[in-house]
Amino acid sequence: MLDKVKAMIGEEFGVNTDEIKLKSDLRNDLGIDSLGAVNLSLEIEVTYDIQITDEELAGLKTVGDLVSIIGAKTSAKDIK
Amino acid sequence: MMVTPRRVVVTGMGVVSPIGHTVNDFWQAIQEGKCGVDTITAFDASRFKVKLAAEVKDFDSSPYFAPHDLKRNSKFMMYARIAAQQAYRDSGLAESAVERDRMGVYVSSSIGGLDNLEDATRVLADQGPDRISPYLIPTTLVNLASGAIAIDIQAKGSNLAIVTACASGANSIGEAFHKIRSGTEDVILAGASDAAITPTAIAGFAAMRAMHTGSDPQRASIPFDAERSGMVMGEGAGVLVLEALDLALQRQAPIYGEVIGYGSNCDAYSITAPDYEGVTVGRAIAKAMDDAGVNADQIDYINAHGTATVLNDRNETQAIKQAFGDHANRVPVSSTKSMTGHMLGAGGAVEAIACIMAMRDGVIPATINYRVPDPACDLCLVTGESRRQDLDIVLSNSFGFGGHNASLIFKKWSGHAEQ
Repeated sequence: MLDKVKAMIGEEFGVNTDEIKLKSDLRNDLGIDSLGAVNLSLEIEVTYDIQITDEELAGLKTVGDLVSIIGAKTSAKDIK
Repeated sequence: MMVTPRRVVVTGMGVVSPIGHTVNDFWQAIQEGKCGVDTITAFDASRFKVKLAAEVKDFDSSPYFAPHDLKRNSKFMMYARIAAQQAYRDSGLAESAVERDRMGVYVSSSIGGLDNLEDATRVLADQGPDRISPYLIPTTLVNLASGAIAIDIQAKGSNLAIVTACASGANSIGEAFHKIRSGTEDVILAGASDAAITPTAIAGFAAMRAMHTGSDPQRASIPFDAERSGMVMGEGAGVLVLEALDLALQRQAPIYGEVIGYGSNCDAYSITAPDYEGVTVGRAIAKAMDDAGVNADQIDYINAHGTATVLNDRNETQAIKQAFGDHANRVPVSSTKSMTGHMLGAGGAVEAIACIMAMRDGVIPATINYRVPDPACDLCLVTGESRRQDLDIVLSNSFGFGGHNASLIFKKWSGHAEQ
């Protein structure tokens, strides 16, 4: 899943995927601004068929946070 | 405090057009009389009455934009930013220590990011409101081209998007000219961009009966021709770097020509139809001549608005006669829209560039594909092929829905600062 998220960020923001780590800060390390973060969350929602609320979006600081929320939401969906 | 008016010169130019994607290619095509009109490929137009447009063809944006950056732009923003980058590089401003707080951007548009708006309405209908891109609004707003260019070149002076439909480019240049002349700004990138070869725009203009509906590209955008039947939609952008002469000389910038006059007014008559008998348009031309301090007989060439609608070309003819008197029988007139199609707001900007180049090289562009004279458009038209002639002072007209009229007057750069 990390590789897929890295690829999405790489394509969306023109970042070299080798430079994207779990601990990378979305804003400070990858230069993703607020609109970029919204757009990325939209793509993630479509790709993984999940919903990310505005509150959850505001709490996403790192690539690791993104991977965690995708993991949690997709496994919750599996349980349902 | 009285401030001595400063002279304003053009020190850089950029173009994306249906007949050339750089100033040099555009100007070469103008001199050769290349027709940019062809069958619409931007969308499936089989159900449309309108079959032709002057599209920007085979355009490679990669020298200017990374693929991910393109996604954050609508087409009109992309054209505007590219034309601005060309003009900015051309001017050498990047290497000059100009005051960023006195560098403005007046790059406008007639319609803005209609392409993205159309895409969004489809997403809204098919997938719902939560799937709308956060980039929709910042790529649709007309002023965002100017805003994005300011970021690109770090221009922190006044930033305006003067929206006057098809006069947008000319009004932007004119207002920028006055702003520099009065001493408020030193440098302004001025022009306009439009990308409205989209289904709703074509259908909308067609519903107004403003568009040509034939299928022969050589007999479509035919300004002043008796068989003209409407405009052909074009697209692209034109941006000029306007700069105070003293500053341009100081930094040894390239100087292509001088802006010396601007006249602007409104018909206050009809939202779409031009003023009866072109009276107000004639006054806008006279205002520009007054602003420039020149008489009609000093003007060597008129780049007409010349849209190929029945009404515009007839009324513009009357307006020119009114403003020029006897000289209307002698002053050469042409419409480069015969080659570029009607680039809406961008038209006035690329036509300003055509005027500057025409003076520099001593070439009058032709109205191409002209065949049948119209007694109602009995101007001294330059048709067929471009003509070599020394030009010192030229006029460019632009008019927009809403009754907006704008006339600009340019002077050949003599190579020295004395008048």
